[in-house]
Amino acid sequence: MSRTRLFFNLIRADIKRLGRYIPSLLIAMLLILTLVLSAGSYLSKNIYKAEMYETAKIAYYLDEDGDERYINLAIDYLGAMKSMRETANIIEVGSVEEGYKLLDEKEVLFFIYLPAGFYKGIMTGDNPTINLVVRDTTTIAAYISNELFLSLAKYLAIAQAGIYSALDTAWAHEMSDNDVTRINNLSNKVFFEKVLGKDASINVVEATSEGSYSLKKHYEAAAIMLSLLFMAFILIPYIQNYGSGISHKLNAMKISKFHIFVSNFLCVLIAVYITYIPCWIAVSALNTHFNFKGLYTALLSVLIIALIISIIGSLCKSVFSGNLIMLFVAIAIAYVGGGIIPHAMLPSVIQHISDYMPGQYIISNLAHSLFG
Amino acid sequence: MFSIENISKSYGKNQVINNVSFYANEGEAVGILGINGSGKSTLLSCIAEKYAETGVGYLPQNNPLFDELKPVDNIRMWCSLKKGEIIERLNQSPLVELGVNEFMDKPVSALSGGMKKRLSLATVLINNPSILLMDEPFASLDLPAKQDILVYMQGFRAQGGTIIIASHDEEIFNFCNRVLLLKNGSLIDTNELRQNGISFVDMLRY
Amino acid sequence: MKIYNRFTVLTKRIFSKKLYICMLLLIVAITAIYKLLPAREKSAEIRVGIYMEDASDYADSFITDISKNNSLYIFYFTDSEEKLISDVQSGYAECGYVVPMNFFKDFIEGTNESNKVTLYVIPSTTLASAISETFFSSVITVCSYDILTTGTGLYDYEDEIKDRMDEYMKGDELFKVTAATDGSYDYKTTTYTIDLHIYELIILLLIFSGLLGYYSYAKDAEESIYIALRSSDRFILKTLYILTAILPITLVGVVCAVIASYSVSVILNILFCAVAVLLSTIILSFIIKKSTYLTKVLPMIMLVAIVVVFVAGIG
Repeated sequence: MSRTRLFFNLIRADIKRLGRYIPSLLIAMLLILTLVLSAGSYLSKNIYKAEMYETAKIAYYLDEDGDERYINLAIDYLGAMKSMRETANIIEVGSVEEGYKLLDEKEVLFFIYLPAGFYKGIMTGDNPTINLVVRDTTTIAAYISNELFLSLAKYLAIAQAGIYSALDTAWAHEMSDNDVTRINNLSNKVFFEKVLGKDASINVVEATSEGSYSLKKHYEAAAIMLSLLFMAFILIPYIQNYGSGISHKLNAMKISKFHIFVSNFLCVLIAVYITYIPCWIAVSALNTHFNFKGLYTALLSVLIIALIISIIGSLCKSVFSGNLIMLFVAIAIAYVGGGIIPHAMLPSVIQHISDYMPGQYIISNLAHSLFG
Repeated sequence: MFSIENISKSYGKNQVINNVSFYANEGEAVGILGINGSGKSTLLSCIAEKYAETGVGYLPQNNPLFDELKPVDNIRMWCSLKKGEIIERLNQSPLVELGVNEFMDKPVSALSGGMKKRLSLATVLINNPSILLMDEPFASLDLPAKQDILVYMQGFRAQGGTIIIASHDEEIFNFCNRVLLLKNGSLIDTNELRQNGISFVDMLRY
Repeated sequence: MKIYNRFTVLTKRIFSKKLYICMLLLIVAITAIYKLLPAREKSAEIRVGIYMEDASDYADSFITDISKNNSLYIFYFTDSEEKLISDVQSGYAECGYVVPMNFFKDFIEGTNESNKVTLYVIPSTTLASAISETFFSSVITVCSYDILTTGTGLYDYEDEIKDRMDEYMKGDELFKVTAATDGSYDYKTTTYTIDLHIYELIILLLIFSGLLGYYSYAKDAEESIYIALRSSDRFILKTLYILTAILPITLVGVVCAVIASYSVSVILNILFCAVAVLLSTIILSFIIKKSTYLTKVLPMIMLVAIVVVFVAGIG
């Protein structure tokens, strides 16, 4: 009997062996699908969370300086900023002591103490010092708020520069007092109008496009990817269930480990694909949209998953180590591919590595195949 | 005559088989005697590998069977025949004497040691080899099972088949026409030693 | 003595699995390497996409200004609106801006009511307003001279105003926010780093190693090698299988926690989890007695564990 014939016989025998594992695979996948579908609403609320920021509570104290016009202007300025309203929860306190007390009790993240004559001082260039006390500098809320303050400070600075420049120019050209007053008022108005009115320059639109998937669908695809990778727990015993007698005789008949690997890989590919089909059916039924193209476009992902399972199953000598290594690899692939934690929340170095790992491509391919 | 020439094998620096050559005539059974770890299994697997194209039948010590499959599928693994043809051959002489037909419906995992050995032999003999390489054919078999295998081997030899057996079981060497001793990687013909009254045990020991 | 012997043999069995030990060492190595990385590599990048349709000089100045900003947000530019939308939708970018043709000119003149910046968000975007402040601070910086000139009507002194503004912006007379906490807002070099989720990985490996330890026992028991033992001995043996499976991971977890400078409470958590896994796997062994049933439910248990561990971690 030729080597080719023997190799063909090996593949046929492996496929026949696979028949005994298919029921276990399908049962395992059906259990997963039942769990995922029934827990779907909880998962969609929590696991798809891309919010990394909770509204920061900021307390402020504004020292009375007798000029309500300036006080109200400052407060209105802050309150008018949509970004402040959405990013921070601003509360007024009655004294500096009260502000520090709230900080100590962890009721607020920031305490801003605006000194007397603050706004007037800005206009006259005295630039009084704001005391900005933060409870915890390590939270992202602190950094977001810091960015906000920096932006607001930049506006103030630009406005100041503009007002001073306009006044200096007017004086340099010996304009009349009326003109100077008019230019002063205009230069004040024009920047604050631009800053306070900038929200009107933005048109907010929800991002949807053909060929792109929502974060929710991204995570559903990631869950399917993990489920297919976890079929390794049933397939690794299948790969390793070669008696030493078989391996010995195959080697003597010049069927090398590589041939055995190829035979295992083909069978694992078939097994993973068979396990993918119930996922496709379930997702299509839920979305009432059967994307038949998805039955073959998913082959690339199935191929990569089958390759990973085959390699680990062939390299490891026992079910124990094979399964634990598979778990580690599955979690690593999903994690780096943004399948467990949102991509934006991953450390920068991981985000860079992600482009060279299969995770994000498998998730993307599965999303296309499942959701059309 | 089946001539085996210049077989060598080493594992790292350890030269297990050192340029071994011997022959076996048609209808002859040659025994390879040696202690555990002397390289008997290695010698047989090297011969099987080198002469694979000449239709040698190789039966390793551990049964080359898939536990999950049925006997007929296991036989099919090692031949080019269809299922029906396999069953037909198993019902004809000489394979019918192996008695594999009695347990064709049981999965391999449910078979006894003797049944598994007979099935393993069937996977080799289904291709009608003229030369049979057997590695410890009687390992973990009870007396009736051993007897069955021995009877079959006698029939095979009587029909002109050549058998090369690696073993340390004395009973086998009573069956063999010649016994070669594998020691320190070389083969020694034990004919003269036996004629001088040295037992197999002493040959192995000294 | 028998228990000690069995414990030793089972431990040796675990440590003889070379690839598995390599994996454990790799986890330690990854933790150590990550610890040594500069803080910049360990911080999150909040990416914000921009697609620039405006091709004026203002756009060029804007690109220069926003690219050199040292803020928490990483602004990057896409070649098409479709790519921008795709990035936002997939969560790669927190949000995305499309700056239309002639936007800057219309913004300066106050005639951009029909020529607005499009801000693409997804339902879970929470930082769009905050990011918009940083975005618009660059817009206003770039347009500041012309805003002033147009707003005050000082067209004849355009160049003079520009020079004066530049001088003021470089000088010390303007209101500035400076770090009041000794540089702690240099988040990219000092404090704000994200921990690698090694702790969650260790917990998952603990859970799974316990289950697999029991699986190994069940498989061996099904081959009737322990059939001659008393039931109490078999129970102890089962416990030893699970314990020896859990121990290497626990050890690696503690080592990684020390390397990553986690608090003592994290180390105690790992130890507590190890005990919890041991006890719960023993309880599970009374429910699932066959190894074949265990393989069917293992994938589901693992998926649940991942969700619980990671969601509980970020929840």
